[in-house]
Amino acid sequence: MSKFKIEIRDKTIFVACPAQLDKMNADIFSCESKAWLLQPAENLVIDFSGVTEISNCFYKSVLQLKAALKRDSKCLSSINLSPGLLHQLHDDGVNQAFHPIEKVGNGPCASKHKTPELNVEFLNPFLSAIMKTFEVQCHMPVKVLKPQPKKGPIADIALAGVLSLISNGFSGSIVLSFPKDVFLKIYENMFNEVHAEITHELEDAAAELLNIIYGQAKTDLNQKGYNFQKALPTVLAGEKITVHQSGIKPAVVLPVECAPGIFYVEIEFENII
Amino acid sequence: MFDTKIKVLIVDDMTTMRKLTKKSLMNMGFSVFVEASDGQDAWGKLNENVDTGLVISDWNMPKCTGLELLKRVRSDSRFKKLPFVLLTAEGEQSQVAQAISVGVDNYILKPFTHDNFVEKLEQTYKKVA
Repeated sequence: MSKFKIEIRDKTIFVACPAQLDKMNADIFSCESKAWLLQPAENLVIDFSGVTEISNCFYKSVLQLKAALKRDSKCLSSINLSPGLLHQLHDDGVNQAFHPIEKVGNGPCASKHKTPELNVEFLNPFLSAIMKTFEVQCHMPVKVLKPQPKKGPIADIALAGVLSLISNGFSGSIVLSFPKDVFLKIYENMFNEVHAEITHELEDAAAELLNIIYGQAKTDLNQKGYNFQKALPTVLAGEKITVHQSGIKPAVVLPVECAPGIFYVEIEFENII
Repeated sequence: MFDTKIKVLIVDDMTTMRKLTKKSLMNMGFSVFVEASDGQDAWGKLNENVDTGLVISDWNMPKCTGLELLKRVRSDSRFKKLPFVLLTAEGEQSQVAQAISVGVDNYILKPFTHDNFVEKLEQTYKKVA
């Protein structure tokens, strides 16, 4: 008789576990989970009532099952984890993979991903990421000034990093644009190197700063229920470049003040559903 | 502490991040580096430098990602125990869990200070020792 007891209710498979999830039970779990995938259910909930031990081998079994469920657009959640086990999962960085929930109905499939709106909740992760990135990576504290609606192209921009924002029902972009003298100083602060012109190396640095900012904001927003995807930046450089966004979508400009002057972050987006 | 005489493979598609990583490693006393611009390039360089003692790789790269490189490294018996650290701007736990399941030794979140970097490498060496 199996150590994992299965019950199907309301299109959800409940898997009750034995007390010790060691290597042997992890192997049994992996083997039996193949049959669970064939069940006509939308979600799978692992019930950890009475579980006292979860080994690293079991993490792997859960991750494999989660990936297989995801391919079929199904979700995995965990209930009744003890505080000790919750702490262990958190420390081992697998908390999100197990997706602990208080009760059934709060699982990942229970709610749709949030649709972004140009408000404080959406903008704040970008503001925090901008401040942290420049302070830590460029050794340059910055102050984000009051956001303004974008009314036209910004003057005297010599370097801009552009990244597409992709999420459910959402299309947009984020642009980090710098006047030449401001970015030359920022780069000097990063590497103690003085440059007179925007070279390929400096273009690369602008792209990487945008990457870091987006990565942090994306993590924060996705933890709040959004669904932003990975993206790679592109860079524009020239004497006086103009970044034309579509003009159809709402766009906001965040002026950012630092010791050598002001640079800009522009966020444009449109909900498409 | 760690042996700073080892060869370090730094993998990132952005020259800026390779430069920042190298700068931190040089401040710690490391001096032998091999650089690669993506996972595919790194795999070739690793095969030419089988005496590499540490890999520090970006996650999000075109052609072959850091995670794909890690899978290749761990599936080759020569590199099964090679310390492998992922650098990422994205700290989502599902991603971290994915990397752990493939065999990453540690990960460093961008942006990072020199102190963060040293701490993460110390943890890595304690773990693999």
